[in-house]
Amino acid sequence: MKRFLLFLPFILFVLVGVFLYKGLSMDPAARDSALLNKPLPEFTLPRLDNEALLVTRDDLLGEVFLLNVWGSWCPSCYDEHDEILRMAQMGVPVVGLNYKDERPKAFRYLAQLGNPYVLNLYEPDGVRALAFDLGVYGAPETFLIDREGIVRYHLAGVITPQLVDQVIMPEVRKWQNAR
Amino acid sequence: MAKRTLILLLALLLMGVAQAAIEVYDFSSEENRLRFQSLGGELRCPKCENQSIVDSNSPSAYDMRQELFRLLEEGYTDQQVFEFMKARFGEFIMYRPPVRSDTWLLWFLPPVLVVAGLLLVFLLARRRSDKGKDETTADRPLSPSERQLRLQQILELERSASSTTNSKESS
Repeated sequence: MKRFLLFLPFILFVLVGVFLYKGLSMDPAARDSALLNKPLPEFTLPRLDNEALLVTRDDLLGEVFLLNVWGSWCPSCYDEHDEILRMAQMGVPVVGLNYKDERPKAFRYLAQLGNPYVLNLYEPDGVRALAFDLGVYGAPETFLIDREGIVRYHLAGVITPQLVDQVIMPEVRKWQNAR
Repeated sequence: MAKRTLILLLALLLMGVAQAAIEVYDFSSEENRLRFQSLGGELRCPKCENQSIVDSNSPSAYDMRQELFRLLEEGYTDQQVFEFMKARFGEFIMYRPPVRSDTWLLWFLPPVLVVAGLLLVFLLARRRSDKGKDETTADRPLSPSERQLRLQQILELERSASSTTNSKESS
């Protein structure tokens, strides 16, 4: 018993060490969206390219699509743009949600980098609609919506080639094939 | 030069403070203003990980403050406000997470550790005083009878000592 007590501080040290070491490799931003497996919220937002045209939730539903939150102010959005173009080329409909941006800047962004989006919604600063209801707290963020309008996958961060090939495309195919 | 740089740096530090103070909310009642402050302090900014939404300057915290203001003015209860925010940003934003089987460790480990620590200190202290009792009684105050005994012994010693010196002198 006495021997054991002598080792107690060492054992505590090892336990705390393991705990803290594990913390080093954990990503605090990697947490599930509260919207996962919940319906896409109702919304009414204008199109980016035409403020007179309003889009609602029902306009988007019907097939599996990706909803990509972006802004010309967001450096990581430039990084993932090629991957969005690639997925669009593979036939995945990607709806853009232009977030806290200004129209002229957004137009310039799309003109320079190419436009992979089937359509873009416009939610500028001061408007709290779809992006707020989706719990978006930065850009880029990407949601996968199934045919019934349920959020099936969420990524807060940059889409990388590996993520496209190993996670996002398999998820898209899975929900496209779901009956 | 160095002084000037320092002043400049200090002025830069003040910028955040000045910016945070600009927002103005027109509360319909004093109660709503107080609730805004307390609820805002309970909601964690989803972007910045360890700031409440009233502390943070991030755009998402700003949006949440705006929305919190709107909800309070519309008469939402505290519970309804939390549900509203949780439905969007998840449990992450609750500074006080619910007590559930997977949060037991979070809630109960600290008090358990405090109690265990106090117990350890208590046991160690008792063991030390037990040991003291075995080896010598010197640390403990004497009881009246013991005191008499000890006094007796000292007087005895004194007497015998003085008697020997006396005998030396006389011889």
